[in-house]
Amino acid sequence: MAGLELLSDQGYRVDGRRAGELRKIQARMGVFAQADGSAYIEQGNTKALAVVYGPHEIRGSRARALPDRALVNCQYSSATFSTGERKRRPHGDRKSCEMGLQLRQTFEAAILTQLHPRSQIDIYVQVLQADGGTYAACVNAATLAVLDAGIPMRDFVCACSAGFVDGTALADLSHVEEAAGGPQLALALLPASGQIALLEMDARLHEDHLEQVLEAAAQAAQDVHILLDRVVRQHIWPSPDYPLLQSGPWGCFSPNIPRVSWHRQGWYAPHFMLRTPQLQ
Amino acid sequence: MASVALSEAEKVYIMHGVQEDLRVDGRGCEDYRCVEVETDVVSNTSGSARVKLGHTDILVGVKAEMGMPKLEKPNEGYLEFFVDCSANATPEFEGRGGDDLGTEIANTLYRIFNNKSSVDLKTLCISAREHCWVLYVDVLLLECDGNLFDAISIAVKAALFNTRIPRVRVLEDEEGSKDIELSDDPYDCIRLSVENVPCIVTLCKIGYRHVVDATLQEEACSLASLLVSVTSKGVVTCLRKVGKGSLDPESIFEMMEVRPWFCGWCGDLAGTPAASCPLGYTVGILPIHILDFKPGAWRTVGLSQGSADLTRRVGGWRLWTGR
Repeated sequence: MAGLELLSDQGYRVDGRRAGELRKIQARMGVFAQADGSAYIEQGNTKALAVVYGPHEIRGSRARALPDRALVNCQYSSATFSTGERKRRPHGDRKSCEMGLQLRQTFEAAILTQLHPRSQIDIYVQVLQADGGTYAACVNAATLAVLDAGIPMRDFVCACSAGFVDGTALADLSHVEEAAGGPQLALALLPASGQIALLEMDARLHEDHLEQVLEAAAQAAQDVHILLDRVVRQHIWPSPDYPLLQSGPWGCFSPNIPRVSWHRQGWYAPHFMLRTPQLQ
Repeated sequence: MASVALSEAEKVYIMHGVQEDLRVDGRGCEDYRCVEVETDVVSNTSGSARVKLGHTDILVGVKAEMGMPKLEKPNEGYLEFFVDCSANATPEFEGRGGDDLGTEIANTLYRIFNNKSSVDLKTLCISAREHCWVLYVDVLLLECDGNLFDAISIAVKAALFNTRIPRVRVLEDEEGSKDIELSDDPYDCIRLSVENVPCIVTLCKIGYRHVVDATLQEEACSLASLLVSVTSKGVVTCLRKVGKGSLDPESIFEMMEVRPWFCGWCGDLAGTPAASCPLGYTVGILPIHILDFKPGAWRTVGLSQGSADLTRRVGGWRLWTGR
């Protein structure tokens, strides 16, 4: 996209964010009654849904059962209407298979699979709207869904993407920034220990800049962790500090926004803003 | 089809209840569950809708793209349907497991729209034989609790109502080459008229009676079902029997009796003031309001938790199967 300035002189990105700023994240757990665990997340305009079934008996051939741990099975699917150009197949193509394998790798590092030998845990992720950072949104949604299902994990798995433009590292890339062709790094982190579950980078980046980009992604993932932690606490244990979520009048898809009174909005203000009805 | 394993005792329980016009969740044989319809949920699309019928959850996105008209109908655009039964609904749908059901539903949708009156395809034509609008209607099945066809037909109707197709002009050059120009105003668009878009009513035969809007457990007890696709004017566009059992000819006519007074209501509703129901059809009992025509504005009010809530929110629009 020639002529599109990804980072202005004053340090603002295309959508008005600063370099290290995340998009608005809203999430909700327990959206489906029939699945063991489910969650929905919106990161800016990227919307992802994750559903977990398990642990249950291995479906299909018993030979795949592992004697000492559970099998984690992931499927990544993105709706045909999720991208600007209509996709022909929601899943089964190479990119979806690769994403599924990456998700599997990520969650095998986090889930305590030794507690459920000879069984299977299914994680199905569906992207409803793709506006950049789909892998990160999927991992975050899947974390919440696994927690909703009650499957024990070592830690949260928080993911974020990062890029590099004009000597500055950008966190949480949108579709416009991804399409510009610069280097993109996807990072999935276990926040308490700082361990990396998955690290992936496309395109060329000089090694001098790598540390800067990695740090930006790690910091963003830690920020995501704070938000996800809050969502989980509100879901499980409403208290005066984490007020009870009330259902909004605009249908079930819009996640419940905590009605935090203005003086409590302190540090979380940029991320949890009171939502006004979308009248245009 | 996603199914649930029921024991014999449970099946007998359900069948005996249905004989007495009493279903497991307290409904009568001809009562629908609460329906929630929400439009404009996905912003990348030209139109979208989400329908929740009990625990059945459907998301439909419509994308309008330019293409060539079909050879036998050079003055019309067309609709393409694709149904994705996602693994969210049940692990059996993982990989290619949901393809069979998806194809069956897509074929049914093609059949019910395969007539001149459902959607005015001439409005989708840009220039004859060269350009037309193709509407790709993509259905995503998120959760399945029985009665898929009904929910999908409502969702498709709502999504088509919500679809906004940009207005284009064809400019002719001196050499004769044509250029297509999109209007600058993002709100300048064509809306489709969905008055004649049919909705499907599925009637499942359980024992000697038929039920409307069966849950997954009730579908497991029924051997045969009748799918009727009907518009608000009472025009039947498709009739299909599904299931491994067989139906008596008399019972088919009995089932069709249920249909006329659904349509009779729409006639009643049309006369009443608050009822400008752009969907033009009340599905079973509960009318679905789309409150505003402005693009991306209000979503429909959810009719979620039962009748009391419903009355408060929608202002008293609660109709039961009065006989």
